Amino acid sequence: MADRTEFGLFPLATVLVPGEVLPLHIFEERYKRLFADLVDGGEFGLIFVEEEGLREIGCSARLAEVVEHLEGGRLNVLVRGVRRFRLLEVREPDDLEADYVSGVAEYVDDDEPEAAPELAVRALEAFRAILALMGVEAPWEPEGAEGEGPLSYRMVAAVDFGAPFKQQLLETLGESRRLELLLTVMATIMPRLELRAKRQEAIRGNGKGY
Amino acid sequence: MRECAAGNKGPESAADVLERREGRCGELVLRRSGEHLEVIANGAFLISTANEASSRALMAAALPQVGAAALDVLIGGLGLGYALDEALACERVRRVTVVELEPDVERWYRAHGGERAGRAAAGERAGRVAIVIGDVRDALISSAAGFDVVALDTDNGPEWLVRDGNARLYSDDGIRLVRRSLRPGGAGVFWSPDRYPAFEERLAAVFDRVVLASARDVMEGKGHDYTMYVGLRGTGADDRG
Repeated sequence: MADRTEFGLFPLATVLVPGEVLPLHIFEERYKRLFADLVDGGEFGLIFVEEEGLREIGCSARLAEVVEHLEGGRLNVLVRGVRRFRLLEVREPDDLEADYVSGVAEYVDDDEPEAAPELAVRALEAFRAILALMGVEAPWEPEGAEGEGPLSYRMVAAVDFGAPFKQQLLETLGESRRLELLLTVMATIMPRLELRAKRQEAIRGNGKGY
Repeated sequence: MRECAAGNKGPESAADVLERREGRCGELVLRRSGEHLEVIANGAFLISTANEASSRALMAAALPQVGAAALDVLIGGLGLGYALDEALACERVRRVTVVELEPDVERWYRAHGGERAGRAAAGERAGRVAIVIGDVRDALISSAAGFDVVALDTDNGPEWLVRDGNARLYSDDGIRLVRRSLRPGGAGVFWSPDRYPAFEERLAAVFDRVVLASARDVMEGKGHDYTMYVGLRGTGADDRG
């Protein structure tokens, strides 16, 4: 028996993963209403929207913090990803301007939540190398978000690998498979980042040797 | 033609250097001293085939303390592969993950590990062994309650560290991380060159029970006693780690 729910939908050109904290600016009337309904702690469904429309898999979220109340009822908020869901049915309100779209959804959990440890070690090694090439000097410590979801999600929350890839990870139901996808992507971008780092080094060295 | 290690020369004085490499944490030297192979890191003695008994004792001390029928084992520090070999000799061990920081240490082990390395390679082919280059802390961080036995054979134990970064493995945070990575009923075991009452107390504060085992290596004709600290996680589902 699937774990079903119905909640307000928030379509976005951004992908949220469980555990991730995302800032949102709320200005449309229907979403002001959604967030007014969320103050008591309920969930809503954040779902990736592209030109082809809504994706089937999204991530439920809760309001973590209202950062700012702005004039006209606009809000700056932080939301936190909770759990992956599959959208089963979209329910449109009578007035699409004033009210938000709801969705009937079922939660979809990992079929393999724990990764092989050697994959986690390799992924962390590669991830730190990527951060170093990007010029991030502070050491990245995933345990800051300890217990808040799988390592793969903490990595894609920290570095932007692009929304389509993030959506692919969201849709992948095993942590080992997600880490393998991440390792592949990191191996692909590593040479480009290395080249860029070398160029910057050469520029700093006044063009010598390049 | 070996010189006496009691002289005032550094640890490199006694043997033939087989290889000298710039490792991740400084200079690594593989050398042969009589019948033994030794690895020296930054001029400090790291591991020798003369340490076989105590490296094996690390596993031998922990495995009987854990009751589960199929064990997942994590070993921090491949060294010369004795702890891995001891784990593989136990039929209850389902899978061993070894995390080694230095790629050269892994290479040396494969080249010079003889039958041990052969047994490990067979285990790798069978999916029973994974040897990975990286920081064992990463395996601990990413695996909450995923292991039955975690063995730390890194560096020279809790208080005499060759690599500064290893200090946090033996800090209160590190100890908690080891406990957190254990399944209920699991054991975390720490190789130590000596008895350190302060370290013992810190273990006792995190683990449900701490058991000590000792092992003796004979190095250059002299017996050295080492301590294996085994921290046990209770079988309850509680989590005070």
